[in-house]
Amino acid sequence: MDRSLLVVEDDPSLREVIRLGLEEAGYRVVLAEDGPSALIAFASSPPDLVLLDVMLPGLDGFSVCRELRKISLVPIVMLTARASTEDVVEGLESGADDYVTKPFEFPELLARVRSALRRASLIASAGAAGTSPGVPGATAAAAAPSSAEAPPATPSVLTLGPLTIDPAAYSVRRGDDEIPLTVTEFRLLYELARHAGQALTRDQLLELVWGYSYLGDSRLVDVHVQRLRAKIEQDPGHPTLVLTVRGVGYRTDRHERS
Amino acid sequence: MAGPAPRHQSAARRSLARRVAFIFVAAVVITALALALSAYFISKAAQDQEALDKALTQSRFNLFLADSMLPEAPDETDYERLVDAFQIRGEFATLIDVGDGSPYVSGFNVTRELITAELASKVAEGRIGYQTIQVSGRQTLVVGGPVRSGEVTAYFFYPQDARLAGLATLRNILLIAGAILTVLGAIAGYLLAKRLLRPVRQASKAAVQMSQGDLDIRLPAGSDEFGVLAASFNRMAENLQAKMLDLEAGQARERRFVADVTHELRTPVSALVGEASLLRSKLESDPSVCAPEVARLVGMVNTDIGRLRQLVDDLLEISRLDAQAADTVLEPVQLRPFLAQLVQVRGWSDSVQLAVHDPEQPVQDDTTAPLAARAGLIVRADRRRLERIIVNLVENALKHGAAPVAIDAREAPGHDTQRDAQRGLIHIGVTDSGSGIAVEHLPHVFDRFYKADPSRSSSRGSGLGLAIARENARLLGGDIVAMNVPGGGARFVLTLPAADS
Repeated sequence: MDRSLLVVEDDPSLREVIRLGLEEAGYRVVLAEDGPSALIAFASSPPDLVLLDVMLPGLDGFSVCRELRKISLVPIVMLTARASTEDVVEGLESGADDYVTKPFEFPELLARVRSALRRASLIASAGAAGTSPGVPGATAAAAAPSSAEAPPATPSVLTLGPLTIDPAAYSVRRGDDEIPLTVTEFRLLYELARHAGQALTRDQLLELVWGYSYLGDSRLVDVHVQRLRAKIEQDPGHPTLVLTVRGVGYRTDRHERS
Repeated sequence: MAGPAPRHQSAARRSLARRVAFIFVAAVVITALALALSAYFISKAAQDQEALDKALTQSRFNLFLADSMLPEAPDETDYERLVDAFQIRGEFATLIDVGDGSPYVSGFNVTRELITAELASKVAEGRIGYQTIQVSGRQTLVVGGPVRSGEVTAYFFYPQDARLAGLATLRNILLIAGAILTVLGAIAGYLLAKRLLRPVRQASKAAVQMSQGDLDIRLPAGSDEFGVLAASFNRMAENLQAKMLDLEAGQARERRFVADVTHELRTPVSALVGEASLLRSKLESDPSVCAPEVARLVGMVNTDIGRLRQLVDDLLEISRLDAQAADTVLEPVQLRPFLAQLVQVRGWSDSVQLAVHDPEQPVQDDTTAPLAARAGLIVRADRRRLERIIVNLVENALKHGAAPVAIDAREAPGHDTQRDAQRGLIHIGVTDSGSGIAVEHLPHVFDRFYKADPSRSSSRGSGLGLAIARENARLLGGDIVAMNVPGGGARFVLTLPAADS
């Protein structure tokens, strides 16, 4: 049952403290100190989540992230330099699900890791739980209810234009073709489709998808919407499924199916 | 603020050009006037002399003719014949006074009364005299002389008006020529002044550009007097530029060093922050792990590492701002929900009051306005940087001032007249309830590591908070000013451009 995490960090002290803390929290931790050894470690035993430092000697974190995305949809959390937009955006564009800025307090890192791991398991219950996109509060991600407490229910299969979204099977299909989405992308699409016809603000999406509103920022949403569009839209430059609502956020339309 | 200085310069330059042109015109006018007047008067004197000579010659001939024509004892008929003979000449009138009160006259209508006593007495002495008089409005030269050793006198009247009309024409021609010359002189003077002042203009323009920070400006070299000025100016510019480059290079080295040091510090600080926080959370979950004094030490280590982290964070941020490597994502930010959320998330609800004065809406002091409820005041800013500014200002107010702290936001007054030309501005004020900032410290509160009281411990912040806030404000196209409010309390006002609506 222990979730396994791959931690890629070049500074030995930080690597060690992350290992200590995560093992304390009950995770199995595999360490790698640079890009190539991270890719080897990933291939030998795929983890449930990758914690990836941006500043790595040789192959940097962005490249490692892109390489991992070629072979896997695993949740990836980046460790980036503080408040540097280029790093954050490049990290997200290279396929990361979330980021934590250095230096970080350990509880914050743990919250992000838990939040990323929980995203997949929350999918199953979200459809029935009917979480309404309310005012995002200061609720920390760690305080959100775990999947075990949510009432078990069979979430309904949603359709969005030509897409069929099945939360139980965790799949998005266009006709018979399965579209590979990361858990975050899937969750984003699912929430937008579940609230079809309703514009969701970036803050609402942060709370619904990432499980926190204030710790994150709107770039998380924007970059993930771009990545999602690149996968599901016929022409990502002129999206027809996930639409931008200027000054507010995003929405999907209810599609009449004949 | 660059407006008034060049305008002043150009006014001075214009007046200089005007002065040169004026002097030139004055010189032209005086010269033309002198030329015209001397030409006129020399010409007039010559003509007068010539006319007089001609009249005298004619008169002498006439007198000689009269002497020879009149018999020993001339009677009335003789005189009549004589004046008739003179009339044939036609150019003058004749008056022969025989002393009986009824003179003989020919030519145009002249009378004995026209002859002045002065002239008559001269003639009575047996000499030839002349005088200029007016005969029915015409200027006339009258020449008188004795006939027959003085018992009879003859006067000849030569009208001068035709000649004077010629002189008047000459005068008019000279006047017109003078006027034309003056206009031409003015134009030439203006062009000359402009041309003469071109190097001055260039130099003044270059000086203005230089004062505005453009050290690349150079004056064209020349071999005249301005060439010397230009060469000196260019040398000065080069020296200044070299010095500035030196200075900038030094500053850049210094900043680079700080940035490098900070960067190197970051990795161990990151590890320290992780380790200390892990240690603390372990202790929190199980206090029996170690003795209470060790727990206290762990708390102190955490606090100090927190300060170290803050310092490194602030140094990194200010290095990035200095290197102009800071990036911004400008977007419209609704102030009311933004500030309300900030106050809530930061846990300031007890110590910070919020008053956002949305246009055309009653003042509300609530901290729980729902997101996107109303448009209200909207600034154009980078959310993260705006948050940084407000957080730094409020933290400064809480640390150095006293709670409660008031945040207010309103449209900047006094821009209505320029609303079309200039996008509106929004003022966000952060006011504390402390005792204010001493006047001598007020200009320095944004200085890096400035300590209002050197003896006071620096344990309450990195000393960079306000500097970072102001750099960020400037990055967003705004600024921050510090002031004291009446009744105590420091107030910081952040000005930001309003979003286009």
